[in-house]
Amino acid sequence: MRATVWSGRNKVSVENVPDPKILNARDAIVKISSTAICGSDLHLYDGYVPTMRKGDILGHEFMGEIVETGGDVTNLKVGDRVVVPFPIACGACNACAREMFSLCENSNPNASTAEKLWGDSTCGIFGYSHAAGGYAGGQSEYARVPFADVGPIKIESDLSDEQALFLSDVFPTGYMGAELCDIKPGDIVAVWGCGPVGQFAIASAYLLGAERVIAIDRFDYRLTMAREKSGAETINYEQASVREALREMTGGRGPDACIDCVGLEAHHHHGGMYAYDRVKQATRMETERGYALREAIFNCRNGGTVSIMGVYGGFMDKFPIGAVMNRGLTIKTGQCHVHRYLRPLLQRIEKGDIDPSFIVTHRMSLDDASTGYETFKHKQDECVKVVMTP
Amino acid sequence: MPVPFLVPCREDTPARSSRGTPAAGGDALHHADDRHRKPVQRGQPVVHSSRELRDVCGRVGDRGELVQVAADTERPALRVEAYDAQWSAANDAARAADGPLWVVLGDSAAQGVGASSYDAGYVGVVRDRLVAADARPWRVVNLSRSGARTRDVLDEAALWRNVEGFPDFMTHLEEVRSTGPNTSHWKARGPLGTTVEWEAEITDDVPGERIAWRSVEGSKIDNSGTVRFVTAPGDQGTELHVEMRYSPPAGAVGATIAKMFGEEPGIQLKDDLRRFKAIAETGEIVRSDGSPEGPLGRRQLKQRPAHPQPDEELAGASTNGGGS
Repeated sequence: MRATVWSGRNKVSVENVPDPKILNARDAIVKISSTAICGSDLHLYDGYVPTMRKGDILGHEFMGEIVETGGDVTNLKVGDRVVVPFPIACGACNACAREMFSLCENSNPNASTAEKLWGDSTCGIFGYSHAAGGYAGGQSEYARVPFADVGPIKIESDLSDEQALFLSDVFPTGYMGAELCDIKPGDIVAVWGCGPVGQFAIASAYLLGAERVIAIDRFDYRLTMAREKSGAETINYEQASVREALREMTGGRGPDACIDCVGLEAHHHHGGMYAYDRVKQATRMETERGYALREAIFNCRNGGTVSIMGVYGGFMDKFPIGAVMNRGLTIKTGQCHVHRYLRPLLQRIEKGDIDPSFIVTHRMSLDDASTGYETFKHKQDECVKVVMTP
Repeated sequence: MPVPFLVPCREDTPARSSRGTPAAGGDALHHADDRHRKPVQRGQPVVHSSRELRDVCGRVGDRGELVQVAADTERPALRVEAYDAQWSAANDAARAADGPLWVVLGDSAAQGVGASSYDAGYVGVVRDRLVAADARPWRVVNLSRSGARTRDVLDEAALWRNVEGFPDFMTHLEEVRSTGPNTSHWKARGPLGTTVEWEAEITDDVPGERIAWRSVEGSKIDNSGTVRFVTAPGDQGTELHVEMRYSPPAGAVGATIAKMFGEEPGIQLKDDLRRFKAIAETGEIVRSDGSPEGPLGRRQLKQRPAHPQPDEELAGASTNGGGS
């Protein structure tokens, strides 16, 4: 089959690899109909996530049709149309019982590697490094799905692929980012980063009852999308002081909740500050450029909540713990526990509360994956989301 | 929360030698020898969750709470013993019969306590539905015990007490064979196709609490181990505390043996425990493209690329316990 293969920093190509097979009795094989490039794939592309190897198949946002099931999978049958959540979860361990599926204790065969990096292991993730299990991803023609009796959700209505696909990651991830904010009526929520996760965090904050949502980015076309599709107010941080604007917009208090949808490759308008982090990151003295997170913490109102959905991989410098402690902030974060949002969010889509396809700006063949990565990485041609079809 | 572990013993499964643990004191949970009359062939999932049962039976409620039984408030205390006796009799009949076997481990819910008769609890209902759905004469041996804790189940669930199953999750072991009620023969893999063998005996055995073994005198390798079962705080599950000691002999042979028990024995033991947990909780050891054997310390230093491997590559990397 053809698959998008990582072969080093800034190098992906579509290559022929063997077809996946059933390796466990609870596996299924999915013939992929649509697959997307995630913002977090760019961290792999840019080489910031350790434990990648040449030949790894990328991709953790995919959907398609079941073509084969293992002997213990009885809830799915050949021909079922499914969306596959990016975390791989067994459904039986203590974490899964608490519905913290991205912390599944049984799905990461490389748990001891992850343990060295982070102190303890997380779940396995499709196409997301060997610390996350060394699973082949879904930017390919077929994918093997372990614990297929737990993860995939059947799409039985006539939703289009683009309406259903983002249940795999970015919609639930943005939604969880907003849900962690414990939004109350009248709350103002600020969202750093208007990529796909940011767009869904903004939309979800409104779905969960936020009074106002303020979107922060440096690309006008992304801010325009946030304004037009979700009704957010916007700040372009290259044109205005985020601090002054937020104070002005919140009666001097700061937003009740701040969501970081940027992660470890943040940019900053202040050349000096950006250079500081960029140099330290490039020389591996820190693994994160944490400007967005620092700014979110610094601007959150006293006693407010900072929700981190942007991906971080290791260690960050100049973490403003003094602001967190003295102003009583709450930090909530985590890889999205996608499984627990699949059904409620599918219902929201089917009811018409939201149509997630609004983020799609680029559609292309799987064969053009390397163009897709370049376009998305450099925000060329007003790119927000690339969807590929094999 | 009852944990009905399933030990499916299919008719087409070839029998292996019985371990022959003696029944202790007539307690239903201790009939381990019966449970292993037809051991599961290596490579098949050994323990299944209630989910599979649910799937076989069709829709009998969500999330594994299989059926609701009407509470019988009238003198329930007397029924505990009565139901236990009735299940014992039913177990004897089931053992004498033919057909696929479902072994139930659990607590009062599996005993049917609270239901109008001993087999009107979920076990009886599920058995009936199994027979109806599967059209085969499913037998039930119900080894549950009112008041049982998760660790009683884990301990008894053919995993730690069935030494022959150890190679399923201990990768350095090639084979463990029962040679008597308390003795077994162990064979471990070494580098370059070498093996080392020894005899071991069970030295301490308190069901639900601990089990200990050591190599018999005169073995090439002196080793011993203890597994303790501790209820986790808040009864969230069972903690397994494992201690293993190996004293290889001196000299070149000893060095080889030391190597086969792992340059990093701590990591190896941890991998073994991850595998054990995976089998107990999910019925399989999950495999990835990068780690087709499941958790394995040395594989994590030398990952395969995360793309499907050709058949010949996979053949050399089958897991002992998981997989189809």
